[in-house]
Parts: sequence; C-alpha cells; structure tokens
Amino acid sequence: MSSHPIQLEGDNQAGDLSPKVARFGLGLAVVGLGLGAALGFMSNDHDAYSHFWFAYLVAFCFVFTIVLGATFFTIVQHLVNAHWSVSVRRLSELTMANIPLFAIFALPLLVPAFSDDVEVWKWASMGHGHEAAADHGATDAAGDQAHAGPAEAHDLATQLEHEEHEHFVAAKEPYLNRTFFIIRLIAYFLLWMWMARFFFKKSVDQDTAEGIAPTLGAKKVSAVSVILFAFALSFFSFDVLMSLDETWFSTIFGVYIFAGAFLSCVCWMVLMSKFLQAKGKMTKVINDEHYHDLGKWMFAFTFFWGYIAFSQFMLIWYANIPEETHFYAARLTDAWTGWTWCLLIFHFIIPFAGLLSRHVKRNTNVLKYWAIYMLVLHWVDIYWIAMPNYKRGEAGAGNPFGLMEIALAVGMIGVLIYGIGKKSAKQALLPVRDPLLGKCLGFKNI
Amino acid sequence: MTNDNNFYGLLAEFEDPTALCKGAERVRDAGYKHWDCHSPFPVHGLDDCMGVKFTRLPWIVLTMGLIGLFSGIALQWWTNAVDYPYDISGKPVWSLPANIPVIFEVTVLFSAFTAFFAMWGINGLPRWYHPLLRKKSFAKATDDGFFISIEAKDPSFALERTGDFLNTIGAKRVEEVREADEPTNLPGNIKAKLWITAGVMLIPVGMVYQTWDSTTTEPRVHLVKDMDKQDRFRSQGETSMFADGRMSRPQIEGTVAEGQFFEDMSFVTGKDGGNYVTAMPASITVDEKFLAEGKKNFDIFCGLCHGANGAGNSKIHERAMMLAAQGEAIWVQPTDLTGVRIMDMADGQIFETISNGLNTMPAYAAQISTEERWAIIAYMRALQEEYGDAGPSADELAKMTPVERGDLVFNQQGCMACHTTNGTPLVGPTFKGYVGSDIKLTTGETVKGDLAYLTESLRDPLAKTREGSIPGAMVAYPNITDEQISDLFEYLSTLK
Repeated sequence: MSSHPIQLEGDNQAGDLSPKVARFGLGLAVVGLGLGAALGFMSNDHDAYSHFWFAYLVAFCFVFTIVLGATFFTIVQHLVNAHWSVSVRRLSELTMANIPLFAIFALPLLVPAFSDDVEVWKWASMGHGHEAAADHGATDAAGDQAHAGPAEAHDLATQLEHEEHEHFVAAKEPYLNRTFFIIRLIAYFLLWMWMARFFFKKSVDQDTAEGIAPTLGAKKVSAVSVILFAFALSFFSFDVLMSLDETWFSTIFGVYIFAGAFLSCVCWMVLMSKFLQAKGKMTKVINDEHYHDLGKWMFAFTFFWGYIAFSQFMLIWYANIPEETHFYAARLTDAWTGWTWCLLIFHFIIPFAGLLSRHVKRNTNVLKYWAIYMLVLHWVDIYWIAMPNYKRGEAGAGNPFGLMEIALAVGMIGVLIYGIGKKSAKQALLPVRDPLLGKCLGFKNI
Repeated sequence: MTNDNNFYGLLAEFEDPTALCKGAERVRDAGYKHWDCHSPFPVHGLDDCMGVKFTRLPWIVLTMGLIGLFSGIALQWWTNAVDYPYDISGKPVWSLPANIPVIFEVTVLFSAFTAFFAMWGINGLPRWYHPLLRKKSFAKATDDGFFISIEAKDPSFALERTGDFLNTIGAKRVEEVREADEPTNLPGNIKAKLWITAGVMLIPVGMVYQTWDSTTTEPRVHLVKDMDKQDRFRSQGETSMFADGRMSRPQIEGTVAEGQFFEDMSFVTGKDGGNYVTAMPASITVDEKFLAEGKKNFDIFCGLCHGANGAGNSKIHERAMMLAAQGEAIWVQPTDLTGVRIMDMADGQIFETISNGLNTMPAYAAQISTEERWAIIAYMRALQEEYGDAGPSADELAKMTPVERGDLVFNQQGCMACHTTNGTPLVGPTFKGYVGSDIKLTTGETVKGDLAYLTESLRDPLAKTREGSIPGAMVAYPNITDEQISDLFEYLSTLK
C-alpha cells in the first residue's frame, strides 16, 4: 500500500502565492515591530524601556508558542500513526520550520536579560549585584539593632521582608543566573531547531521517495522527541515566563503553556487552511472531515486549557501558602481582576459552549472565526501571565495595554507569515507520497 | 400484510457494501419505515443511503450533563452551606473553587452514563434475542455478508411485491424470516443461577447493613501507616535530646522572633502594662470593611461553636447536646457572646482568649492573623449591639433583692451551662442543696459549701477541686465582684 498512485485534484503547490505571502508578512513585521519599537524607545521615560521589553516578550511568546505547538503537532502525528491529519500536516510542518527564524527574534531578549537598567527578569540584575546588596543589608541591620527604637521598627520590618526576598533569589541563584539561563536557552533552541529540521526533511524526502523509508525514519525518532519536547517546553516556560516572578513556582506551569501552545497551533492551521482554499489551493484534499477533527482539537484543548488553569489555581487557592498565592493575589486585585475574569469567561466558558456542537466544527466559515477568536485570547493569556510583573508591587502600576502591545503582536505574526511564505515555495503544500494519504482523503467522521 | 403472526419479514443478501448502499437508497425511496441494514463493519455513507436522521443523542447528553452540573452545585450547596455547615481548612462553607472538582465529576458522570445508556435505549438494547439470529445465513453478517431486512409490520409490506422489489434492487438471495414456534422461556437453569447470583450479591450489602449503626473499639484498617505513625516532634511531647526533656523549645532569652516585633505591643497581646486594654488599638480604624472582614472570620472560626449570631447555639452544640442526652458526651454550652459577661469583658481579654484559647476553646493565634482577631472583636461588639441585653441598670439593681440579683448573676455569667438548679448533675455539680452541703475534695478533705468556698471556686477553681470533677472544666471568673458573689450565694441558698 506504500506507493499506490493517488489521483490528486486541486492545486497543491503554493507557486506564486509564496512570494506574495512572504512580502505581506515582511510588510506586517516591519510595520508592526517598527511601530512597537518606536513607541517603546521614543519615550525618554526610563520605565518605558522595561515596558517595551515586557510587550516584546509577550508578543514573542504569543507567536513562538504557536510554532512550538506546531512542532508538537507534527511529531505526535508520526508517533500515533495518525492518518486523518496527513493532508494538513504540511501546514503544521511549515509553521514548525520557522524555529530558526524565531531563534533570531529571541536574540533581542538578551538585552533585558543582561542589562542592569531594564527590569524584566528581576533575578538577573539582583543576582548580579547580590554581594553589594547583602553587604548593604548587613550594615543596615546592625545599625538598626544598635539603636532600635519604635520609630525604626517599620523600616526594620521592610528590611526583613527585603532580606527574605533576597534569600529566595539567593537560594535559586545556582539555577536562575545569567550564564546558566543563556546556556539553557541555547540548548532548547538547538534541540527544537534539530527537531524542526529533522521532521521537515523526512516529510519532504517522502515526497520524492520510492519506498516509505523517510516516514519510518520520522516515526522511529518521534517517541523520544515527544519526551524531549515536553521537558524543553516545560523548562522554557519556567525560565522565560514563570521566572518573571522570581519567587513564584508552579510545577504545572509548563503544561499550562503547552495547552495554550497546542490550542493556538490548531487555530493557526485552520486559518492557514482556509486561506489556502480561498486562494484555490488544497480545495479537494482538505474537506469538512479534516476541519471537523481540527475543530475537535480546538474544543478539546479549550477544555484542557481550562482544566489545567483551574488545577493550578485550585491547588494554590486551597493550600493558601503565601509563596504561591501572590501570583493569583496580584491578578485578582485592582486592574487585573477584569483580565482574569476575561480569561475564565472568554478563554474557557464561551468557546467551550461555542465549540461544543458538531455543526460548528463542520461549518468552516464559522470555525475560522472561532480560530481567530481563540488566537486573540491566547495573546491575552500570555499577556496575563507576563505583564503583571511589570512594576510588580509598585503602587499605580496598572495594566499597560495600548498600541505598542498590539503593534508588536501583529508584527510578530507578520514574522511567522513571512517565514511560512518563504518556506512554502520549495515543496508541495501536501505530503503527496505519504503512505497514509489515501486513508486520509477517504477519512470520514462517524 | 400477512396474517401469519409468526412471520417477521424478509431478509435480502447483497454482494458488497456498494450494492448494499444502492439497495438501501431504493428501499428508502420506496417509502419503507421498518427496515434495517446489516454489515460486518461500519459502511461509510450508509446512513445517508438509508435516510437515517442525525442522532438526537447529543441533545440528551447535553441536557443530562447540565442537570449533572446543577446537581453537583446543589448537592454541595445543600450539604456544605445549608444542612451541615462545617469548617474545613478555614474555608468559607460555600466556596465555588473547592466545589468545582465535584461539579466537574458529576457533570462527566451524568454525561457519560447518559451517552452510554441512552445509546442503548435508542437502539432498543439490551435485548436477548432477535428473529434474524435464527437464520443460519445471517451469521455471515459478522463476516462477509451484507443484508437488508424489511419487517412485515411495515405498512408498505406485501410478501410477494416486497420480495420482487428486493430482487430488482440487486439482492443475491431473499429469505423469509419467522419468529420461533417453540416457547420463549429462558433455557436450562439460567433463572436459578441468576437468583443465586443475586443472593450472593446481597452478602456485601448485608455486611454493610450490619456495621451501619454499630460501634467498634478496634482502630480502622489502615493499609498505609506512614500518615498515622510519623517520627516527629510534637508540641508538649517529651524528648531526651534536651536537658529539660521538652520537645517544644522556649524562645531564647532577649530575642524577638521574625515578624514578631511591634511598635504597639497591646496590638499583639491585648495588654497594656499588664492590664487588658478596653478599646481597639490605635492603629485600627473600625469601618464597614473592617467589620465585614470580622464577620467573615467570625463565621468561619467562631460561629461554628458560638453560633452565627454568637448566642452559643450552633449545629455542633445541638448535636453535642443530643449525644450528651444519651450519655455519650460531656458538653459545656459554648459561651453566649452577646451575654453581659462578654459585653463587660475588656477587648484585650477577649483578644487574649481568641489568641490563646480557654478551657475547651483552642487557641486561634496560628489560624487568624492579629488584625483579623481584632476585626472579630469589632464584629462581636456589633453583634452585642444587635442582640445583646445589658440587663438592669445600677438603679434598678439597687432596688432588687439580693436573691433576685443572684439569679441574674447566675444567668448572666453562664453558670447554667454546667450547673443545674433542679438536682440533675451536668458537667458540674447541681446547685440544688449545694449551700451547706459537705463537699469531698480530691485531697480527701471535706469542706462545707459556704460563701468562702464559693468565692475561692470562682477566683481560683484549681485550689480545692471536688472529687470526681473534670480537671480544668471550671474556669476562673476574675471579673465577678465580691458583691455579685455574695448575691449569688444568697440565690444559691434558696435552692433547697
């Protein structure tokens, strides 16, 4: 059954669509990122730089999680020998193939990581000036003890709190320090770049191969890749997003990010597929059955996201330990309360009800809007994780949201579109000789 | 139609799935209602060929899922917040985050059971027997046979016409199917076996029933013991590690524990220079928000015993009294916080009581923050405003007889929680005939129930304890005046 000829109708080559898409993406990236950077750096306000780097981090993680979701999607299809997804798998592969491009766009994040002036990862600068701070603290404490009167008691309390916080950071210093941070990031990106390259190459090799050796090769590596991917994504989430709050920890955090990543990747694939079909590509090979399955993933991972988000919340809420609760305390006070409720209602309850029906999943025009909707909410999710750490604990920090956030997110989407446009030129949009393609095209949901 | 009652219908075999689908389309178009297709595997598109309407199962599942959702909410709301409000980990009795896991499980349970059993029901399952199974040739339906059956009860059915019709739409072979002529009883001794099985299944139910309402002195069976038997230091425990043999270590002389240094010591001790403070510490502003905070914690920590309005009536009290009436518990009614004794008590003393506990009341300093304890006191004062009865004024008291005043003291100080006036023993001895009686002490001596002993019992209850009394059950009443004791004695003297 390996290479029986399949009559493929429709246009499965991107052809002259590729450069157009790439040009559009490039334009979007230049305008979006340019506008964002201009808004961030034009201001003479020192805090604005930190604000810009937070917004850049949100935009980067927002789009990069889509790419990571696509990587996982591709690998897991090989792992479980899935046939339904063969006709849409190249779409996830094209998304996945942009990991090297996003490695380049991760480089600017070294600025906040290594600059003492920009406060994004506070542990970075704290760890750096640690000895000086400790000396200072010791002197102060000694001074206070010498003439400890009631008037100084308040200062002493603040001082103790400060020292407790420093103790946390010092205890994590062997892990959370600049050198190890950059080593880990390099390791993650090397691993992911290798994965993207390997699975993309195997899939493309299969397009021209006589036997099914490339597909078997991909399958062989898929199991270990999934395990490595899970660890890398978890620790990437810990390092880049969770450590924004250097004292907070939650072991489920990596799973939480994964849920959002996979969800947004499936949404992105629906949009890619709808776009290609609107341009007259892939019209016969992707049908309602495939959209239905993509829709099922959207529904399932909407719920999975809610399940994990609640699991994280409930354990912390119930145990009520101050080291953990401050994450939610910050997000359930003042300006952030609305965003938290927004996530619960718009990222979970409404799409859960909306995507429940089979008819919604099979109505591709409706599904398309749900995909856009969920991607917007995915941005809100990442924003909600990262941004409350900007000016954390300072009065009147509020929740900065404006043109800069939007411009950077749109620009980063533009980067992804550009990358996909470039990548799509060289091979078909469909794994034309995949051994399971026949089953895929004849696939029907019960 | 045929008059033959045993006649079921016609069974037609088709060559392959394609022929089956084509045949099914023709049967559908011919307007038959009571007919079905049979194939060894699911044939895609057969539903459309047969004109089967989309299943209504999802709607049933959705409805039952929603019912499950609301059942889960109602179950927990009723049991936790209404019927038996009980403190668990200091959480509010009705708090959604804690309830969501159960709500989720009940929703899934209802949905899954509904999906499973409603699917059976819609398909007419379970059934033991189907007439088609009598046909030898029908066994091919589990292997390589594709069949259409049309039932005789269909209004369009006519034996010959329908038979010809099936032949014209591509059937390989058409057979007549009849119901069985023999009796339809269960074969062999299946019935007896079912009865025996049912009987055996009742054994565990019987065992549960037997132990349902019984008591045992045996400890529970614990498979994993490490939660019960841990090596650890217990407060008040003994150890050979330290010279004084105590596990709890006293604070080192001249040190202040982290976070325990305060400008205003009365804020954390309730005392100012050894005396209880009579007002809230200066750093506290009593406003609506503060009172709301107090109410929240009062309901969580205090209300469970002292009652939501502080009157000392609560579920725990009701149940304890029930058990006490059966002789299964010894119980002292929780103090009426809206009574005169607590109304007259200094804020600082109440604060100390909440912090360190008193008698059977445990210490709450570890669970309730300092500020929250003051908030509870503020809320208690509000409850007293609302429900409290300050009693007669000084002028009115002066006009009363000593016995009347003594009766008042007896009630206001809550003596009746432990002592009756009618001869029934409670936690403490009855006061009927108390005055002038001989009271045997734990030391073996005997004292008279006179004013001196009453005074001593109120001031320092541990000095001379009655034989058979529960050590520490009687608490000191430092706020009671000598005049009040004298009045109380006069009143007790009347109880003969």
